[in-house]
Amino acid sequence: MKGIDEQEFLKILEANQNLVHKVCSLYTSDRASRQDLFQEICVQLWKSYANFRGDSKFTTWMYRVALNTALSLHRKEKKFKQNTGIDFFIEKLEATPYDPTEAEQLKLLYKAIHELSDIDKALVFLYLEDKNYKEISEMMGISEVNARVKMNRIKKKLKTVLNP
Amino acid sequence: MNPLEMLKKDWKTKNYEQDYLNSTQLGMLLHKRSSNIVKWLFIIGIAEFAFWNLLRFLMPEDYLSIYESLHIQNAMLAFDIFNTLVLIFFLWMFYKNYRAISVFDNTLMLMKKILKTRRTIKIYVIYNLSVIALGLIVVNIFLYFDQTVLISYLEKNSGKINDPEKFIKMYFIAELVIGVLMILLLGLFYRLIYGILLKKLNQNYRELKKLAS
Repeated sequence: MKGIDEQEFLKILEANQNLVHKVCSLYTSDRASRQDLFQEICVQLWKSYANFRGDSKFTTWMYRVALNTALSLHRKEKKFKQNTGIDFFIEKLEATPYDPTEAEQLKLLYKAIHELSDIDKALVFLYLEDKNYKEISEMMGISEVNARVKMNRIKKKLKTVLNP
Repeated sequence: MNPLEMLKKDWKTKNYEQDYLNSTQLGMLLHKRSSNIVKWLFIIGIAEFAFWNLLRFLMPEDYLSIYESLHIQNAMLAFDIFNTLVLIFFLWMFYKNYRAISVFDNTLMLMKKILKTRRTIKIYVIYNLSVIALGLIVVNIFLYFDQTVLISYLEKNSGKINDPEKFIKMYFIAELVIGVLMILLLGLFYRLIYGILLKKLNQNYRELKKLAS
């Protein structure tokens, strides 16, 4: 891309790639699909980098492009899921200080998140990333009130997973 | 601790370091081919335009002589010009919609634009199917009322016809059956292609639209 410093972009992407990995782990169920989505998000980030004017933070822009790619653009999906994707989260759980009750609860919560619809996952993701409802509504194109109502419903649903 | 706070706390510590790529590996990814829905829509859209136009060139040339014999060549020429203008209009619309798609839009807007591009292709396909159906009907009506033209055309291509009356009857039935079947099959084919390609997107769009209202 003319006039755009690829090295500079790669440096920022490298430093912020954890965010992209998080989105990929939410929306895929196996390693191959995760790699596909990761690649597609990187391609979309690079393609739209020319239009990133720095009006918003680089990470805010990344959230938007990554979520949009996962929700609207990405298509590849394994027909037969070999695992539920939850294994990936559990893998990560093992790195945290071990508390059997907490670990079990987190496992249940992550499993419940994985079973949510794509849109609900996006809301949960933004909530977990500490985005406020105004930011969530702007990013998703929905009303702030509905984002709040929907998120409250999801929270309730997640809580019932632990106290059925 | 509130389970959601616990979840948030854990989420923040999530580190995918083992999957990290360095800038050289990331750089290689950037130049790999994209395989997203919009790209597929674009490819299918272009294939669509190419297919329908190629079809016009593949028509046997002497078939046009039938139009002359039926004295409808001027009407067909006018229609051809109209059809080309329609094609240009659709191509322009398609390109305009395609260019308007921006991954930086909000999610609902992005989905709306993708579906709008798809709708342009859909209208173009419906237009083509209608033109085929209408063309078949009009030409066959003319042929029905001037069967000598048809007989002489067919005899020129495949030799003497012994029982013209019976042959003509069979001809029109075959035309009707093949025409209807072709249109149905093409319609089904499009439904399948776009159904598979856009199933998830449509689902997400409907859900998000509900939240937007």
